[in-house]
Amino acid sequence: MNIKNILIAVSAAILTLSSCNNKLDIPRKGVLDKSVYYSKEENLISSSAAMYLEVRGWEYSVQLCKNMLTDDFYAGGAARGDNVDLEALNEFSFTSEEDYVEDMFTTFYKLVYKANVILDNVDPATSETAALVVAEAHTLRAWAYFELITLWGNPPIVDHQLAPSEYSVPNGSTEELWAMVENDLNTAISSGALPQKSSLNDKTVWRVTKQFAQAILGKAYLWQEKFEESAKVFDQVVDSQLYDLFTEDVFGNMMQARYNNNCESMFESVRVNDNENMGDNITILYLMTSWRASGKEMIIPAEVCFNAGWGFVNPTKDLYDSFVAAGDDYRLSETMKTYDQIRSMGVTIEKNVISAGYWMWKNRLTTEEAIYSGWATYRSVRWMRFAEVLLCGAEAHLRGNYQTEKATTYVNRIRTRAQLPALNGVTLNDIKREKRHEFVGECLRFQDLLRWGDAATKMKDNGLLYPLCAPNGTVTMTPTGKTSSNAGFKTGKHEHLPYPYTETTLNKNIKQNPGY
Amino acid sequence: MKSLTVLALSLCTAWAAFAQNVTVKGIVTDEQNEPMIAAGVVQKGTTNGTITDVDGSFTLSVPKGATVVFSTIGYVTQEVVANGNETLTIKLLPDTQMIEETVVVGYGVQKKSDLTGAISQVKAEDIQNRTITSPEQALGGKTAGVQMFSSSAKPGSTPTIRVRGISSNGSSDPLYVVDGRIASSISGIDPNDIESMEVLKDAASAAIYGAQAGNGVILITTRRGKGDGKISYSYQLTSQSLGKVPKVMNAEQYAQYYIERARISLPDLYTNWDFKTNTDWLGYAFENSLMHHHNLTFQAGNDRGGLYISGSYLDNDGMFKGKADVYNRVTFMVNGNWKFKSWLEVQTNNQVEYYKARTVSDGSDYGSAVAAALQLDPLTPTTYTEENLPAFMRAYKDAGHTLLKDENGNYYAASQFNLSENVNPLVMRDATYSISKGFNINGSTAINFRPWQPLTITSRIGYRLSSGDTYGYNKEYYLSSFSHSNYMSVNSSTSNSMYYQWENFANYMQMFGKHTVSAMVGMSYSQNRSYSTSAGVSGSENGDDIDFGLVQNDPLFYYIAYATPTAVKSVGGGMESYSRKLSYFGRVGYNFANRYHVQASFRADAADLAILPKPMRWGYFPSVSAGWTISEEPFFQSAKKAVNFAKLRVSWGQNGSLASLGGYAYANDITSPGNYPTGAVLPSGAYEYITAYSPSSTGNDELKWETSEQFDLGLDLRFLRDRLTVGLDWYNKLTKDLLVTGITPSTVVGVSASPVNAGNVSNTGFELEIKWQDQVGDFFYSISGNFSTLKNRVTYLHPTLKDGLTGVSIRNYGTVTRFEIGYPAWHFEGYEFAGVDSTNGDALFNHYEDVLDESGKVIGQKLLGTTNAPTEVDKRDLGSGIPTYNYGLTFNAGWKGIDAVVFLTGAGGNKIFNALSNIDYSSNRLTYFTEDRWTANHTNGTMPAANATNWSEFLVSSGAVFDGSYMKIKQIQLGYTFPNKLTRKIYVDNLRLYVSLDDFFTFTKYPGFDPEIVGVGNSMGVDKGNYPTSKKVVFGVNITF
Repeated sequence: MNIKNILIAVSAAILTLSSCNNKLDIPRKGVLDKSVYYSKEENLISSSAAMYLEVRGWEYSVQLCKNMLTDDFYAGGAARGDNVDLEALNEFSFTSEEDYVEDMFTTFYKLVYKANVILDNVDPATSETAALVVAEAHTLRAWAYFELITLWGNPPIVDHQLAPSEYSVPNGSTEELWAMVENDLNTAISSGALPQKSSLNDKTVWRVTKQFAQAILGKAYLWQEKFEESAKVFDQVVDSQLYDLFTEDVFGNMMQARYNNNCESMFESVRVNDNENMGDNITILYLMTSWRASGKEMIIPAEVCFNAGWGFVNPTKDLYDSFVAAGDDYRLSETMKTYDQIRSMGVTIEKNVISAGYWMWKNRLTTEEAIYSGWATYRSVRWMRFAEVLLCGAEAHLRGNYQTEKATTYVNRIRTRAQLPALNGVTLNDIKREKRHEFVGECLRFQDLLRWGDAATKMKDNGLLYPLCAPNGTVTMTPTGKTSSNAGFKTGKHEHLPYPYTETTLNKNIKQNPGY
Repeated sequence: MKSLTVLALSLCTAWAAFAQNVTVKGIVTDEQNEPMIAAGVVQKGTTNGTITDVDGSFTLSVPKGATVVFSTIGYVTQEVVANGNETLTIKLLPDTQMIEETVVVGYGVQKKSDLTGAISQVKAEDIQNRTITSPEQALGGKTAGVQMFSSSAKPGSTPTIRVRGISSNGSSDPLYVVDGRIASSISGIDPNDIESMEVLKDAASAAIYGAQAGNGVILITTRRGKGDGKISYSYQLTSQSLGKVPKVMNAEQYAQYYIERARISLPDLYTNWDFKTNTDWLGYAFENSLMHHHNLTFQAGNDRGGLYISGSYLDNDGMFKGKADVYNRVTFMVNGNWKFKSWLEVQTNNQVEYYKARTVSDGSDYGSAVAAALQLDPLTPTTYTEENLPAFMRAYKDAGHTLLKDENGNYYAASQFNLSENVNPLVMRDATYSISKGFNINGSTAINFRPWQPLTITSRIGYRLSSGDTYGYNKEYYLSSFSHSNYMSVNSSTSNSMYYQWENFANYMQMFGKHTVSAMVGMSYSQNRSYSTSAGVSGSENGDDIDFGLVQNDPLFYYIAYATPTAVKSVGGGMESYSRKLSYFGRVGYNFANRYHVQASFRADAADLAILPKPMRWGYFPSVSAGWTISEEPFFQSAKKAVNFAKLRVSWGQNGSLASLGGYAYANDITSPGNYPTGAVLPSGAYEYITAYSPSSTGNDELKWETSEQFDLGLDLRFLRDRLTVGLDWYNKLTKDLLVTGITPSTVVGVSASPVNAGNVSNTGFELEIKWQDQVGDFFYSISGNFSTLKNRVTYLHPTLKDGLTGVSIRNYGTVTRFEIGYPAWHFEGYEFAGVDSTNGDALFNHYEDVLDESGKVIGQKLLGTTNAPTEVDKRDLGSGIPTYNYGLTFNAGWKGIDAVVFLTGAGGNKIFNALSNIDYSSNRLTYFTEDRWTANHTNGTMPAANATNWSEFLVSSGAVFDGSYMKIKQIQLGYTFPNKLTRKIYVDNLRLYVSLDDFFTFTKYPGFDPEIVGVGNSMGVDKGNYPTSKKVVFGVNITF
């Protein structure tokens, strides 16, 4: 055996194996390369769809959370304690560990991220599509920040994808935050890239429109009490004549899937009735909000509404009484039903249920919409109705003392549809009342009450009692065991939601809101 | 291997010239007259010497009359006086008294006395005749510095091995190397086929395996053929039964308890209990079961090589009633080695394994067969006959539901009291059927060239071919509104993988006088390809689906092949995936006069793209070590009678770990979160969707290897002619750059975070291994013990993780383990139970408030008092599941034909979080929690009232944490070997019978099942109803022909 030969053979083997180095470059399957993805125009629509998907995902936590934080509803369920998170929200006993609050907070930032990815990677000048998705990203990011600012006060400003070294973002200042929102919306609106409906009854537009961006901008001004700017931009939406109040059917049917994307809808998250792709349309929100029937507590004829809900959202007597006091009978009967009304529809109550004797009607899930045993629906999510434009516009005009006659006109458009007599002039109280009655269960009231400074008076007793409705309709107000020391809206604290415990734990630069 | 081990010789080549020199030449052979290579030939008392060449011949010039000494490792030294020029034939005989032990190290073999690292050995005699079924189990209690953790002792399960602590938040599995082949699992090796297991504990020993060695390395050497033809057969019959049984409430106690808790009303009780039933669910679910283990080996060998062939069959039917938990394994091993030429040896080791396993569910707080046996109410009988079926079950039946029956045709009973996911354990057994089968073919083949005396070149191919499949079905059944299935489903999956590694390395060793120089250099390349497919069919007869899913509702049709065209079908897999590694490594050593030893090694490892980004691909892992054999010093000679060997060792090194890596975790690629409908309808009539795409995670281009750095100081001592041996080690191991996955760096980032290198863990410990052996006349005995301490601490986490990583939760009561700075990995965290409120029976907990510094930063907590409604600030450290000390003790004794073994092991300093209570339902509980409870008449009870309002806080408090220390007598064995004179007559060389009690006695204060089987990873020490170790009565026989 020749040593040299062996050494040569071994050296050759080692050298051969050195070429294995490039064998280590195993490509990843099932993914696309980010470095080139955003440079291709055909991919941009898909990256924008990711934002719309994220928005639709808000629905569950945003709707439940915001509706619970009002004087309009009691948290319900099978029995007291069925969902302690919703009870804590409803009763203002939640802490910074509250899951729904954390979900809502993080979901807004998930949208901000998806918008930032587009804003960081796409140059709007390269194509029409690029200009469109950039404008959409600006609009949706601004909307997310509108919610963040109005609910948390001074959330961190994240205007680009964060590098690991940037993860501890401090609170933003109120001025900077509003400036960012205004700037985003003005950029989007002035870009000319946002779509608009072709006519009042155009149902093909599902993206955020120029008018939706203007409406968010109007709200941003209104919250900052820049009333004149607000009034002007709301006027532009009204004057576009592309939106009007829905009158095709009674008020109480407006939310149903058959009226998806109707003339009043400023922006919706789309769902379709597609048996083949149920997973793409799934939600359990409506099982949460439908009348309590899953344990056979109520027997609901199919023609009334879906007979298997969990009953977590139940109107208060205070809400009912407010309608009655205003003589707002038509809208009341289209918004909620009383014990006697549901009995006359053939509904029976078999066991005690959490209810003050009223059941939501406007938001009911009809049996035909409850597809896949109620785990899915094809009702699109209504994020903003034209009615809100009118009432916000009215408030801006009135409080800004700008064109106060327009305030009256706008309010009367709402009242007319509600089959109420027109007013000769409106006060802020008129607007507050209209807004409450018009938008029951549509997630606006908590932020409105905060803005008006009415939250402490309206919700100081939240959480002391909860209603139990017996099969015979007798409602008993039952103590929750909480007292005014650990329940009810507290001034100096509940003006803002808490930053999630997770965030304050992870982010040493963030300052928790007072009281949490 | 003799020719390899002789490399480790020390010799002298100094030349001395004298006038009256004579030339001595000749040949040195072994006892079989084969030439002996590299045997030492030295003029006594001088440095004048040589070594024999490939033919065993030597030539040495010495002064006339000088004594020439012939020696080599493992052979009796011979001395010859050189009287003149002569040709000698020296036959060296094996030194049966004092064969110097060798130890397998990475890519080589070393004399134990030359070691500079910390290596523990488990030898064949520690493994044989035990009831262990996998090699991992052999390590526990037999070596210092090795801990075993287990989440289940069901048949076929293997414990998790930790070498020198827990060094990661992810996996800390050691690297297993079987005959040079890197093995993903060693459980397919029959323990009887193992010659030795070496645990490379310190960084310097392990560093030659670099990036994979950060958690220690376990080298397994399988057997080789020896002797002149032996056939051995061994059989072991083991009867298994439940060992320690937790005490839960009986029927009367249960009823009383839940009446107090207002979960059961008296009318309910009268309706649904006959006031006689008192079901022992544990007794119902578990039974005595048998394990059979057969082993047959054939072996033969001589100095040129050997052949070892063995086969084994294991049939382990677990304790759960029926054949519900079964592990069957057939192994077959063929090992051969042959020295074809004096410079060429080929060796091949091959193992074939076939296995089949069925298991029952355990270790889950959301329902398992084992938890059900603890939690079901004793008021409900196990079954009902057709006649006494209660009305509510008859109603189910009348409603068309399928009720399940036992083998006697009786209906399994549903409880009306405990309506939880835990139901009759035999329903949990029968409603689903799942079996996994597969085979592994493993092996390695090496060629050793020896072109030149000091150089050995090895080229070795290791391989593993695995194939496995699972098959299962779930029946449509109805037991209660909580436990039923409207669907039937059949699932099947198959997977296979092919692994190979090719390694080439060269070992060089040369002696220059008292100097010995050694070097090793090599490379390794490995690839694994895996591939799997899965499919499922579901349907329902009575439920929503339009059909049953299968063409016939008959078990003979329960296969994917018989799916109906309209069945709901699922498919998965079908994608091959690869992983590859490339490494270069080397080692140099130097030894002076057997007294001073130094060694250094280096390894460079490259990972593939699935593991690390390309610029971070290479990891470099160095080590150095040194040893000083004090007993070889001249000044020590006077002490040698008492202390015949003493060596001080010191080592330092770095190793890596990829435990938490893989799957392109660092990448910032675009994936689809779903499809968004536009509402439009396409011409085809289908709805239009846009597939959304967005980055899946933040990405991390700076991801790098997790690195362990370890310092070790050791002392080896042997006293009184080796009767007493002592090994001591102290180590300090710091694992840096832990890969933390699934973190939330901040909720405002808006996207899942990629893994980051975000933590350090330190492990420090002291290890002692000690053995005394002696023989007094016919009586031989030995006592060997080991003791090790461990201090495990998380020392650093990225600042964004200041509260650590959250671990496991107990139901929805709260998280109970956390990975946090200043505490052991995954330590327990919860409220501090501070007794019971004597006014209402609520649990009280210590209540704290944050103490702030001037800047408002939290610097600590202050105890305020107690509260019944604790909050986050009241959560404190409640101990850790990691023992702070472990020990093992083995007594061996033999007298004439009788032999006895007692082996015990234990651990201490660890805590157990008892998660066996489920307060969401009326579940049975340990009497520990109920017996001394507060009642209106017993207001000084130490446990909360049945209807206390804060049980969910109590169950995540120190009230549910127990001292987990235990001592187990693992083995008490008594054997008898029949006298040779007798057995010869039936052509048997050796016949031994033995009886043994294994895992029979456990000493612990823990009131649950088995303190040794309580979770791994981030569940370490959290007992969720894990399948316990059985106690075993064993009968065995060993026969050699």
